[in-house]
Amino acid sequence: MHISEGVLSGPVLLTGGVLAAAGTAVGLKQLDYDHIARAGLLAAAFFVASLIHVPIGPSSIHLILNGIVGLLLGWGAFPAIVVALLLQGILFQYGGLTTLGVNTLIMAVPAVICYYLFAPLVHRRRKIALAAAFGCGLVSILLGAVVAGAALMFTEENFLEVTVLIISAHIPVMVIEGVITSFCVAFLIKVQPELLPGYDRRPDPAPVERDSDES
Amino acid sequence: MAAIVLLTAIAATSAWAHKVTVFAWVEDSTVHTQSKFSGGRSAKNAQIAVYNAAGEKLLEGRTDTQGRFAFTPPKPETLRIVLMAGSGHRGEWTLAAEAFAPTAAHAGAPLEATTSDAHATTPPAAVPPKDDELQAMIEAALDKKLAPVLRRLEVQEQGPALKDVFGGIGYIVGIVGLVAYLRSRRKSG
Repeated sequence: MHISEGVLSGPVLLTGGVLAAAGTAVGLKQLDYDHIARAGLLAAAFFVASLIHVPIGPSSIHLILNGIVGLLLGWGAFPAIVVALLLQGILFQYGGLTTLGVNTLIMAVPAVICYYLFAPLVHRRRKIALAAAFGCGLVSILLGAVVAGAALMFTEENFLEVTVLIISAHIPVMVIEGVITSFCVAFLIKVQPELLPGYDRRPDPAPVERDSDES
Repeated sequence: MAAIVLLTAIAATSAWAHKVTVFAWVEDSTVHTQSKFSGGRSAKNAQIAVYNAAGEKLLEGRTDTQGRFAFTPPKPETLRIVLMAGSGHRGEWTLAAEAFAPTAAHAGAPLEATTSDAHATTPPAAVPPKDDELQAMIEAALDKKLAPVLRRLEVQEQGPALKDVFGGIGYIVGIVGLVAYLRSRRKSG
């Protein structure tokens, strides 16, 4: 979902930059000391995920993983993604420096939205939690395509056309990221549920028991 | 209906990768271009616009199923070839005016013209070049011709190297350390 340099107009780039800076400031403020290492880990995962190409379908696309980043970091997804995108831009020439703000919005806004949508569900019953995780992975890409469409609306044809185009190209990635996010959440529920958001204020503590039959 | 829209959309967009490159070369005063996404897929049915040095649009067209597009420019000059592969993908290639030189500007005829009406201004042009001069000229011409090929090789090697991946991870670890350090100072101070 990286938009190249020289595609967007100045005002769009500027707006994207300002909004991304604001989001990053909020994220840094909310990122307490204990979450810094986690943000770094997820930033590294996000950074490397873009190298994993998905050869399904007519197009060449790659993993994004903004769903799991958002789910585990909330607003902290902004600083994590901005750092990862900056490094992708410098080292891989994906995206670019002028489009850094817009690209950050494309991937971080869905991450934060998914946090609010799906974080309350991950401590429910197992089935609900896994379904929520799948939805988180899927919706994060879907919303990313919508934001990208909105950014491109000012330079390319029309919003709906571009958005449908991007979504259709990303259907395989949506499914794959849904599955990956489910696996991550299933693993965390089993091994370290306190890493998942809202562990302290989970609505119904009973269903989150660890597997009783192990050891 | 929606399915048809979806299918045509999939057919029209050749890729949503993160980088497209366009490469151009000259053959008999026709400019050939080849457009590719990173990963090697060709950019099909993508829009190509050709500008001159002054920024005026000379012509435009679309790539075929192999990502190729050929055109004959109105006159040999420096051209800027811009590829718009849709959904925010853009690539650019500058074709220097010298690329046209051997076929268009200096091929036979102009040389004869200068020798026939050679006044006192250009006496050395009429003298046949010595061996070492000839060699230098050939080398210069080869350099000129090979420059775009070499540049293309550079571009093709652009897939992220392992050192970039680990370098990036290293940077992230460093930034985490820096932020943690600043936070801990604020905490204690």
